[in-house]
Amino acid sequence: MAYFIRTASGEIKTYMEAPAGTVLETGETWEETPLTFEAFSNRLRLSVDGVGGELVQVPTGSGMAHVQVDCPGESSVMLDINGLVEGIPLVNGKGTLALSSELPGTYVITPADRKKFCAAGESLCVVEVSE
Amino acid sequence: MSAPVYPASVDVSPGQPTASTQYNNLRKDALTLGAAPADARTLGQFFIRYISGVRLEYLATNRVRVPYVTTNPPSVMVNGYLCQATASVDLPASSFSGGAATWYIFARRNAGSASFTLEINTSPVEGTDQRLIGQSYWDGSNVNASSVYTYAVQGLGLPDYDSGFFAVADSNTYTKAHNLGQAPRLVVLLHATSSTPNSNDELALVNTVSISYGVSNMSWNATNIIAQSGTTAGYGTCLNIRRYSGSGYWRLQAWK
Repeated sequence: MAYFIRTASGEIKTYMEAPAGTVLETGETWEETPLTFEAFSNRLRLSVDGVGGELVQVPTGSGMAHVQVDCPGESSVMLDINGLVEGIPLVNGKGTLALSSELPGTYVITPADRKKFCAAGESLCVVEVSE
Repeated sequence: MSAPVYPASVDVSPGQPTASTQYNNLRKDALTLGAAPADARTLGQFFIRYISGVRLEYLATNRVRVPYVTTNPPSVMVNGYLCQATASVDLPASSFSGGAATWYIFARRNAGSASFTLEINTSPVEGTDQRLIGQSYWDGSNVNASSVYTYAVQGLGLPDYDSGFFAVADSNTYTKAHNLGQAPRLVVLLHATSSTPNSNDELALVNTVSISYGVSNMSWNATNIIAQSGTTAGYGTCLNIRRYSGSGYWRLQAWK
């Protein structure tokens, strides 16, 4: 069983393997899921070349950076890329998002539906294109 | 109160009758080092929980070992028997099984042996001829090597508060009530890139996060530990020369 917290606006703020003294902020509420912590984490995972859960740095002009999208049981998923929402088609729960590395900058990729998916853990991917 | 007379018994000569007083003094010397029974536990009672030189360590694959050290041999009193190993003591292979759980590790005294063996159970209750000496965590597939812990070993013990892993992102505040009854003396915040890191995965220490420059990110009092992520995308949950992150998982541990 995993536990997660919704903010006052209904978005999932965080989830955890045990409540362990977690203090809610104003408007936040607790929810439980029969899924294990690992299974809840694996509902949506974003990675670049197998690297997830940390900043991915790519050099400028190194071609396209490919974000692997792993969302078991879904045929597509909407992702927010720096505020722009894009649908990613999935085959067997897997898809790819291509990002240009032509210009330096930072891509922040999160699930667009934050009431269903948590924009934390491995469901949040930051790709930094640096000179 | 004066110190007990020890030894209270004296030498006897060949052929000399042994009086009851002499016998009782000898017995008092043996049991309580000369002290009156009302003033001292017997040596057997005193050493009933004796343990020395017993330090559990992980043994590949999915086993634990009490290594033998010549200068400090593993010694433990089990059910009133003085057991001492003469070689390293290993838990038999394939002892762990089933779902994820904390397994408790026991020294077992065996009839006809002055040493001891190791066995495990998900219950910490000691059985006959068993002595509870430690624990480890089985995740359902593997023993977490860093979870192997010996109760008798002096030093940093298991944390008094452990949040477990929780998902994190930039620009958030995470407050945990530690229930220690006092401000912790030591707090450690760890970062993992996976929700279920195995024992060989690298965990990064989080002392600093970025708000365009690096800042410390934790405070605590007698009630709560507050950990706050930074605001710089990609650097808000871990600013460590080994790893930068604005996502991943944190785990808070505290000692009092």
